[in-house]
Amino acid sequence: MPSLLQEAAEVLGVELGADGGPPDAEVIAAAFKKLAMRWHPDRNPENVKEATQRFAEISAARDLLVDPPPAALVDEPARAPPSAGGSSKSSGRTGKS
Amino acid sequence: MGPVVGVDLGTTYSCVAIFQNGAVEIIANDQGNRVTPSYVAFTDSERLVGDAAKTQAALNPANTIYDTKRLIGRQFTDPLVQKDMKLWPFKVVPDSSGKPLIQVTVDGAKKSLTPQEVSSMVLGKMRDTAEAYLGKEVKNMVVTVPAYFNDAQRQATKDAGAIAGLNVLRILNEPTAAAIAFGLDRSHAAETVLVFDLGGGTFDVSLLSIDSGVFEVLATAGDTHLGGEDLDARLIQHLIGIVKKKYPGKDPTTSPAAVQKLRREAERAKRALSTKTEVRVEIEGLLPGVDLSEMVTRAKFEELCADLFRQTLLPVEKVLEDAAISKSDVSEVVLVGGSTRIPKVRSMLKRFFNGKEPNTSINPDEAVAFGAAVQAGVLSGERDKKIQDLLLLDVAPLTLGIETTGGVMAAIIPRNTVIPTSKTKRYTTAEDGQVAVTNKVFEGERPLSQDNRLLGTFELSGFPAMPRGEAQIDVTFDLDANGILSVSAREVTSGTEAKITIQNADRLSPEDVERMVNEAASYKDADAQALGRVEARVRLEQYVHACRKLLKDVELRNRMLEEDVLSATSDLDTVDAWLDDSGDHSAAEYDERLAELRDNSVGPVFERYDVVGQLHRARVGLLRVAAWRTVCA
Repeated sequence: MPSLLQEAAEVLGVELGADGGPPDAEVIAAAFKKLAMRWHPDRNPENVKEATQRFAEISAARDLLVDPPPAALVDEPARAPPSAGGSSKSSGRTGKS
Repeated sequence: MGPVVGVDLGTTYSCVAIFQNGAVEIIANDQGNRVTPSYVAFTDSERLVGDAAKTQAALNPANTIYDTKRLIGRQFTDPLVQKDMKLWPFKVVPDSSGKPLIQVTVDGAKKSLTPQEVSSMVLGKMRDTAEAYLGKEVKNMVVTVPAYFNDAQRQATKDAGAIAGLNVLRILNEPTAAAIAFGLDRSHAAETVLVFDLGGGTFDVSLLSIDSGVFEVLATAGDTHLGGEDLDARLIQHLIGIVKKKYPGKDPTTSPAAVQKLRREAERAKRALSTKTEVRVEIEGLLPGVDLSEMVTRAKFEELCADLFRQTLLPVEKVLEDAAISKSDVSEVVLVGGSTRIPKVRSMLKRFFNGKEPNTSINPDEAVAFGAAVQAGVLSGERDKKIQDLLLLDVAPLTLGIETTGGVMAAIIPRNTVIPTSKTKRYTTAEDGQVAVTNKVFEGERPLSQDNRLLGTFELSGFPAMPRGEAQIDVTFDLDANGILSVSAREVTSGTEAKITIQNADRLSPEDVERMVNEAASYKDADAQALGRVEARVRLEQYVHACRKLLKDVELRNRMLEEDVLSATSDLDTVDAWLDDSGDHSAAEYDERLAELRDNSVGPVFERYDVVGQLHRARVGLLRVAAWRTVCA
């Protein structure tokens, strides 16, 4: 079963890092921007419904890769401890409440 | 879809703009002004909107409405509403569901208006301004709101557009719009920009990354009740204190007209203090026997508002923290909103950003409408190389969630999530045979739901009875590009759409909107009548004026008989006296007087001297301009 991270990476069309953690922030940002340009509903007035759905998936995937929840990292067996993986990424996109 | 305009619907002023032929034009109103006061007034005979309404505010305080942006989407019991009411000369009362209504007196009868209806009149005025300029019907708009506006405030603003018969294509966040104005013509590498938007009534801070046409909001924060008006209020309180000290027993707050005069002068003084270090506030006859003449220094003004100024830095810190960006990574601090002209605001920001000079390259009064017009261009499908690669990625300003066990708020869409977005949450039943589930949706950042704002209660029903825990109900929260939430649900095992009923929602029902649309249409007739009446009056005034001008012509006077001069002058005096003394007449009455002058009294006199043609020419050009000047349709 592919991990949450793997799924998110596929949605964005990026490769996970060698350690199975998220790719670099710049890689994520570039992939997101490209797909947002393609699928943002404002750019798809003829196809708003599908575009809205796709755009929501793309941004959810981006959010997950940028700020992975601990569960997404420990889910995977035989993995280096989270500290060696993506948890060093600190640029949280979502608000802290 | 026809032209789409961008409208900045401000607390104190509004502005309309259009993107066409590759450029944005800010559209001036019938008075030649590029911003229009967000004022609506009712006189015994007509409704005034914009400059005409603000001009007569001190004469007609109880029936002159402004500041509706401070009421829209709020409850009557909201402490901020209660506080604002003390300074408003118009009356606000609660309706049966606790929402505020504005009460005015028209033709001796009380009339109640929702904030949405008043805002719809301002939007209608902005539409009329655009239509007069474009010579085309305008049906579609992009309307801006403070980024920190909540769901109810956004929905209410959209409803205001619907009441005016407009299709609001997008509710756009003000700082995002300003960022477009700032970044559109900037051929710069990727940069991080902080927009500091301190307007007449609201305050927003947004942090954006701008990279080759993509404007992405990273975080937003603000205060929907902080702006120039709060600074005015401090100055007003200060002046009231001085009056009370100087004239014991006199209280200006007992007179709405006096408060209105103080308000006008306080605003004027505040503006002057942005360029001068002191200004004298003078109001003769503030109250009977009370004259005010007081010097106010910039230092005093800054002292009166010190805490408000300091308050503006909190959202700045919050957006930097939310986006995990340091001060030094901010490449430009862009100032928007009239209140950013205040030197103290600028110096404080400069200090906060370690000496970085704030960027004042965009017009603080027009930038929001400018950006709205660009987005309107994008949404209307305008083909222009300037905007074809432009994309706005905005965010949800507030966390949306549901109440779980123990009154804890469970976030479903965290704040600063990019929109549009869609999140699905799975629910099940807690008891055997349960066929309904109730949930409460909240908005806000506090951990306990009771401290957040209740958006509505929804009940899921219509799915078959099952043993507990077996039903699987997927509830989907869709937050659209306007930042407005809708909720839908589906029971997965049975494949049935669950029925959702939202209660306590702060929204106008479709029936309410329809009733208000019809009422708005009736104003249109009344406005047309008022315009017809004013045009008729102006026709008469202009005819009299042209006659008097002719009588001053030396060449003509030399060949006129003295008795003709006297009779013509006397006839004109009679009409002038009639115009001055009495109130409003019907269009027919004005026209009757005009016909009388033209056909029976002065007209035939001038005919004898062969100067009627001259009379006609002098009159025509001025007519329409003057009529528009008097009525604000």
